[in-house]
Amino acid sequence: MCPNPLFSGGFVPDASVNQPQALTVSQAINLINIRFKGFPLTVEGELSSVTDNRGYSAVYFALSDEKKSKLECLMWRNQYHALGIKLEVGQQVRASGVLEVYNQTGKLSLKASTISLVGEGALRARVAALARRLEQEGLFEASNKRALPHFPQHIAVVTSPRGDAIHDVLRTLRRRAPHIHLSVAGVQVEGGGAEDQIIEGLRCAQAAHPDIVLLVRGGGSYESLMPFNDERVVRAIAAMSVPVITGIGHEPDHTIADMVADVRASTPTAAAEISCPSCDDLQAQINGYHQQLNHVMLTHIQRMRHMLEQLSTRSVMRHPYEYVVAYFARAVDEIQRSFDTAIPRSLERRYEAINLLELRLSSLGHTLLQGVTHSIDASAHKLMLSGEHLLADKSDQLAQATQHLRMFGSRGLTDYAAQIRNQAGKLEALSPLGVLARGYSLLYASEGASSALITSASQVAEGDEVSVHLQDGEIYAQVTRIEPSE
Amino acid sequence: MPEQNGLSFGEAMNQLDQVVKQLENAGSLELEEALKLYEQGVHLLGDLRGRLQHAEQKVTELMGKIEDNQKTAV
Repeated sequence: MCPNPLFSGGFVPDASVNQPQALTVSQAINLINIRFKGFPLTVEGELSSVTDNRGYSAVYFALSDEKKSKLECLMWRNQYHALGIKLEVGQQVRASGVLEVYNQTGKLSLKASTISLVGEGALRARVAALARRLEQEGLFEASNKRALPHFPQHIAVVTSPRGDAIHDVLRTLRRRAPHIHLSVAGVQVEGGGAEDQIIEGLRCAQAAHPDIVLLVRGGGSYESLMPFNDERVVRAIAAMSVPVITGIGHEPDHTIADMVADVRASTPTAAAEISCPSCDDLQAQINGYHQQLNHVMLTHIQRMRHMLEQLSTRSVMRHPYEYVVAYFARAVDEIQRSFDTAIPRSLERRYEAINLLELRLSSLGHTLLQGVTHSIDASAHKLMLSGEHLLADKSDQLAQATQHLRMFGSRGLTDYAAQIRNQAGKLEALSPLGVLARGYSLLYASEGASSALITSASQVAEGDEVSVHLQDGEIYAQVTRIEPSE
Repeated sequence: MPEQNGLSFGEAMNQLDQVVKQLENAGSLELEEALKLYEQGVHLLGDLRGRLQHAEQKVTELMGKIEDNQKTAV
């Protein structure tokens, strides 16, 4: 009887021969592999090595257990990719397949057809899958994160009423910001029913209308943090109307609750620190503002003063006389000058006319006087000649006659003088200069060389150019319309 | 410190700037107008200087107050 079922059937050693028939190595390995195919194995162990090299057609890994036993394994690359899990050293896995000896090396390997994570590895894979799903849903989007208030007045803490976490948080908040009002929702954070309690704790916290909610718990095994990877808990956090800070476990633990929270802190203490500024920091900040306030304000005033001084040194403000008065003084001077030249010119012309009249008047008077004097003198002479004879008797007569003559002569002279004055008056009245001085004007045709005086409307036609002579100058104009008077 | 016509500092500053500009172009003004503008400019200048001085005094006074507060707080 064959003690080993592996070798029953097939190449059975010939029992009738004392010396068993020898096989070639290839035949032996081939025989072994054929036999192994009939014995599918499922082995559970920890991954002690993983070789995932793109150049190889298979992924090679080794399973071991606490007794340091080791089994080499491999999986065809296409099968490995179809698994959808990434093998990492330390993972607890369950691999199913058949044993096979590689004829080139004689090495025994488990050729795995399926691999699955077990224990924490399986948990992590499940959590990762949920995280991926929620991420695709957009639950972790940065745009969904609420900003923390800078100066919270009321903070609610959801955590276990026992344990270090609550103490760490309370101690930190008391130290940093003793003025902040605190609410605590004591809940069970692990074990069965923890999820429901956490959800209820969050609801109660929100009902207290705090500025921030802290969801914290101390460190623990991966499995003990599972309530924070629960989909309902994660969705409850996402639905909160108040910003949530998580501080769950200790680094490097990372739960889905952390991903969905508005701010994730690594520990409960860190969460408390993030939630509010410390009074010491605020004091330092205020001191900084104190320094800045003085500096900024005085600088501002200096700048304003500088601008004002620039305005005030503009030459308008420094030499206002130049701008405000001098301009007008210059204008007045200008007018004064034109007056000074305009008035004498018109006066001069009138003086000339008067002088001319005066000259003519005096020469006229002189000639008349001379004539009269001559005739008187002649008469006197004649009288004297004849009088010499008649002197005696005629002397009275002569004196009388002389008296008459003198009277006549002077009367004639007076008449002439009056006449001359009269003429001079008329002359002046008739002088065109006098007429012009009274506001009349003379109109001349200025067409061509014949600048004839115009005395009738019929002398001009529309469009003709005319010159108007006034007492002090001439105006050149154009006839725009002619209206003969009725 | 009375504020001229209830103008803010910046407004008064702008007005002064306008006054100066108009005066620099006094040729287009009546004498009375120019004189009035100049008078207004002088008033604005005095008012603005006064306001700055007042502000500076106030800042010094307030900073003193802050320091006093700190002393009493300590």
